[in-house]
Amino acid sequence: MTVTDSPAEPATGEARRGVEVRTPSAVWVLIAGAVGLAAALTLTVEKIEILINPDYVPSCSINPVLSCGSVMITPQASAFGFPNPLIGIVSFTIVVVTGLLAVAKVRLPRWYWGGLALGTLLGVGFIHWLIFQSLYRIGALCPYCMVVWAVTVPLLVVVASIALAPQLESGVARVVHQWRWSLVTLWFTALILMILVRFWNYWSTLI
Amino acid sequence: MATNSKKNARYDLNAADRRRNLFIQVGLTAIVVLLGVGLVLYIVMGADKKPEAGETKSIQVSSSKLITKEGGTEPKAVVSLYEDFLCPHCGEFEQKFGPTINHLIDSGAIRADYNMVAILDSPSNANYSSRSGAAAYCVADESKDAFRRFHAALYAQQPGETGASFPDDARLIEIARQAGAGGTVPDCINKGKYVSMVEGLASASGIQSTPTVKVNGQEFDVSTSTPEDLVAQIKTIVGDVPGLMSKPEAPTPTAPPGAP
Repeated sequence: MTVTDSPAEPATGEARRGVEVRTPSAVWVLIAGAVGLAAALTLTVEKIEILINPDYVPSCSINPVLSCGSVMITPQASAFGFPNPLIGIVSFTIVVVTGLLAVAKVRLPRWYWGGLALGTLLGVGFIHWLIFQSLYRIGALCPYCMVVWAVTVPLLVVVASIALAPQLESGVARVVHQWRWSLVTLWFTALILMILVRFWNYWSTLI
Repeated sequence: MATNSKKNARYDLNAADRRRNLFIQVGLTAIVVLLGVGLVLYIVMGADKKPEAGETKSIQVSSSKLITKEGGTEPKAVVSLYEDFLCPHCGEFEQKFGPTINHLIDSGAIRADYNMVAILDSPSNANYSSRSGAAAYCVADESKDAFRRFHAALYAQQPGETGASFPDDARLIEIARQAGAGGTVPDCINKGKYVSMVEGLASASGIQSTPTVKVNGQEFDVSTSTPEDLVAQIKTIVGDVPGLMSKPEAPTPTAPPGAP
């Protein structure tokens, strides 16, 4: 989606024809959706395996820190009374379908992208709560959950850029938009450093 | 997306500008990331790993003449001592048995494993037990000989259990310095590197009272025994080492023996 081509378009044609999404953005949405869906599915399957056999060791329990088994059995892993990955399955399915439509050049209305951006924003908020809980309350990392963390934040950036394109022409929004990938890079750096510091006692034994 | 609009010819004039902006953006981001990573790594790597409560560590003191088991480096006789620098009975024990234990170490008959526990910590003594015990581990990291002098010095100037003033960390650092331990010791004491380990050491080792003395894991009753009994027991383990004998009690007002 570009904000710089024909300025007449958003005013007149768009309401009827929907939002045009550039191919890279569309592919991004599709890939993020697929990766997130795969992670959510795996987590659900592992959760079922644990329910069948409490002694089951999930495939992602690698060491004391990287251990989804100990994370999946915590109350935080069922924040709303049912396992979190179920939310992931539903929402990432929507993302995959949206990404496919966008790749197929189907023009979806702006309100649709706005809704998706809002949903992704809620997801990002939830993920930050989960990151905090995982690092500082549970004290273990679950690799598949981290995959979800990693795809959701860039997804929000892409979807929000599509949804908010008309608002991004000036002011603070434009600056933020220009620097959005720098901000994402800083977010990833901060997260990795937090993990590094939090579990340094363990990492340092590996060196 | 907003910055690359290749469709419109008008914007080609700004292509160089955009490329420069991109470089600035990538460059600035990279600098911030590298600075952040560098700073955090510097802080994290610089911080010493503190042993936690529940870990056990003893200060193993022996001489080069140590009598070992055949075909190994394990000593035949290990005397484990569990002491609290504040406990009066530990002070009495040190006065009564200290010279003998030092003699046993120096003659190579035993290896002494000192475990400095803290069972008398309280706000009224500013947690002197754990602070002094932790300081002893700091000194031992630097030098075992300095630890022996530090150990003797702390008992020689042991504060009363209900006394009014207790050596603060600065005083402990000064005593360590007089015992010949400088280097990283002040830092180690100030940061309280071993404090939590010492606090948890008594329960982690299953110690009910201090002083507790074990000879090869068997408890040695210190309240009814004399240094002669200890020497006799060591002799049954290592045999009759020439010159092995108990030493007279240390005189009551001791200067730190061997202090420089």
